[in-house]
Amino acid sequence: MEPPPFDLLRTPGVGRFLRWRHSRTFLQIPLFLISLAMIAHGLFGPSLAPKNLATTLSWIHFRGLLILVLLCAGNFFCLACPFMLVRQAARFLFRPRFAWPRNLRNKWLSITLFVLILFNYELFGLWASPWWTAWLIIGYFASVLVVDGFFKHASFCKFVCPIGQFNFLASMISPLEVKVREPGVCEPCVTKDCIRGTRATTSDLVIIQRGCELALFQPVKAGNMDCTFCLDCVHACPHDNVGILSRPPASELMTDPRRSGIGLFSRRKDLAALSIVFTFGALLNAFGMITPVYMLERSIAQALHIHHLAPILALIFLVFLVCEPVILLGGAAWMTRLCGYSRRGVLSLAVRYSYALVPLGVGMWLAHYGFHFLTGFLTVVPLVQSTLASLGFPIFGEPQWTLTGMPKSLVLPMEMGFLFLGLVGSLTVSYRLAEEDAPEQPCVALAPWAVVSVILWIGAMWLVTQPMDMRGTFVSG
Amino acid sequence: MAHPGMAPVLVRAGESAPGSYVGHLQFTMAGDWVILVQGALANGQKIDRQVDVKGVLPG
Repeated sequence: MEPPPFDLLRTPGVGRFLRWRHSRTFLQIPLFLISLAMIAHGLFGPSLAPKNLATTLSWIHFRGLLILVLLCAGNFFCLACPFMLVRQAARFLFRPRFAWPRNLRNKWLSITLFVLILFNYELFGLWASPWWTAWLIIGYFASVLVVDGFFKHASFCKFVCPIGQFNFLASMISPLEVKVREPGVCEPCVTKDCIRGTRATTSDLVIIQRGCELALFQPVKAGNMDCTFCLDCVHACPHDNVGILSRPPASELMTDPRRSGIGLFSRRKDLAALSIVFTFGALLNAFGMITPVYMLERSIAQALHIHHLAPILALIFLVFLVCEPVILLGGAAWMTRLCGYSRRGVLSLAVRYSYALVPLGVGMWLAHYGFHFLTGFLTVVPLVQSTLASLGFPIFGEPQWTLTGMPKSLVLPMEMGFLFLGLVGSLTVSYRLAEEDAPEQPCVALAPWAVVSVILWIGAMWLVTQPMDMRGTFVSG
Repeated sequence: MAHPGMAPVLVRAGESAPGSYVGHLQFTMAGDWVILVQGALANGQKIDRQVDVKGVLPG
């Protein structure tokens, strides 16, 4: 008999805190205050990025901690999301009246926004611009208020938020999942509070505890996709039957059950496209920070006589996010079909196996964001010293600008380790899918998809060993 | 370095002639750099100047 999985909610300290009804708000308030400080400093503070809270906390600390927490635990940043605190406060004032449009109930809008953020990050050199970074945060707060002000449930989280989609995908390799403890307990349940919410005994229309706003019905929920770890289901379940349980990382990618609120992964072209953008975007985002990208930009500028960065970047994005996936995944799917390992069509195969790239994508994001965080996490110390001094409160003394983080020589092996783990994860998921498609020849059926993973891994390894070139300016000609 | 989180290069400039100060620094990576000059005048007044050095090429 298998031992019961670890349940974070049953631990004495953290578990007790998370079971507390106001734990989410408690976590959101400090992040909201930090967001306000970042906006103020971004708009009115020093224009030099390393001396500004907006740029340093956004592009070094937030991104680094986000991906590390996703790797080690789960989607706890969505749990503590400060944007949702503002939304919640706004909903005391006005109630949303509309349902999210049916033709937008997919990930295409959020994919577009995700790509736009990656594009503008390169175009405007967001990492070097406190002003633009502050406006990005303001834009986020405004978007949440507009979307969730008009539309019911968690429309922003499920269909709009690019950070949320990033977290949903990365959390598929997390070791923790919000899940039913004992499936048998749910079978006789008729109230379904985990999704409908707990209703008042006096009136069925009065909700005293919200259920899942992302339409995930716990008994048939599978995996972390679309789960914000808000714990509404935990608080709503009258049988205390929802926990935060351990599971093998990436295990949810190895099966394709019908998932509550999602359906079948293999039929969701939008989710497959999101996985592709997530994985190839990870390589593209890292490519934007190394010396060869500037050589490439100059070559394109000279060859096509273009002197503006936007069309050159658009071309690079097109190659990375469209041409490369079409060639690699299309080629592998075509090979699989040609060899008769599956009866599925080429597009259907490409969709099915695109999810197998997610572990590699997470590995690349980890290597990239982990690098910046680990080599620069101490920069927050002189930054706080300098900010307080500039406000007339030099309580922590002179800024120690020499404080940075771990040496690059120590971080590089860790980056390579992350990438190796990503490769192993992608190969394992591909193998499990191939095993299902061709039970008699799984290794042969795996081959085309293994080639895709290995090509991407080699590309990622090359990227992390390149010299960095953090240029916000475009030098043409 | 214009990117946050990167190690700064700190150099003390020495007086080579009256009113002239010389310091040597090495850009440790390619990209956009910012030189911040801080000093004090004879009357004690503090001065700060910023010089942008864009597009440092790899060595």
